Amino acid sequence: MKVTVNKIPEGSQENAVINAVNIDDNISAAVSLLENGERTLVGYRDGDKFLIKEPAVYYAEAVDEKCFVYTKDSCYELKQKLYELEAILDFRFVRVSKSMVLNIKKIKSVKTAENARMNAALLNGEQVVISRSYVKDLKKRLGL
Amino acid sequence: MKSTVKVLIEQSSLIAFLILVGISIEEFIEFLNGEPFYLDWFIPISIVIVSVLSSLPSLLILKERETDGSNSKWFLILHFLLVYAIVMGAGYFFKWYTTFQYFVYTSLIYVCIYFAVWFVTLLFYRHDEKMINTALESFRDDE
Repeated sequence: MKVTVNKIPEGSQENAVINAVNIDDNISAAVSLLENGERTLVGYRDGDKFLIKEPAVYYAEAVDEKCFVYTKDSCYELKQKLYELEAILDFRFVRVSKSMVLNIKKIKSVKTAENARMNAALLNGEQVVISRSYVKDLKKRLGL
Repeated sequence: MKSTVKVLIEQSSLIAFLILVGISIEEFIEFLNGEPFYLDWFIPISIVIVSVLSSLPSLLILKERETDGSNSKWFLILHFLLVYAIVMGAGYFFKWYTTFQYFVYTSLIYVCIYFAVWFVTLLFYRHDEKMINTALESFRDDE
């Protein structure tokens, strides 16, 4: 899509006009970002379409070639692959296993498990596994 | 690839150090019993070789960590047996033991070293856990 940005005088009302044949997921996400200042993902549940605010996402997981995002108490299917999603998510998200990207702001605590893995307790009470080989990425993201 | 090599080097170093600790204890006991200290020329290089070979089954553990963890017990048992086979095979080749009695001693030292490696590794993991939890304090959302 061709994007045109025009500079306007200070004090003028900023606005955006999108001319599109179809309102697809990318356009919906762009509209939400422009309107609310927050990035959103487009998820699907029971055939309905939902806009999910990125900071509300706890983690994204690939299951049987499908990608799901989990919020505090809901789950949505995404159209993207996990690696595509990982590429667009912001600094809050870090890969913690081959099939999961986790929002580190939603981690309550971590604990080493008996099998040398690391379990993460999330703010909503869920537990997820952090593969040992991805712990260094998590530490790096936390500035350790 | 880089992390795999790093794990192999870490494991080799730790195993070599603990083998040296084991040999030191064994030789010290023999010294106390009045037996003379004697070390063949190939013993140091055999320690290096066995350390590197013994770290290779750790690749199994790395692979297992990518799974759902349901088979972790079997991976650990397989890892223990594989390393035992490598140590005792190399030990036979390098004449670490020549009698059944020393075979048993070597096996006992192996078991001690194996669990010591795990213990030290777990200490490192606990240190990671503590650092991450401290860092999370100032990072997590309020909900």
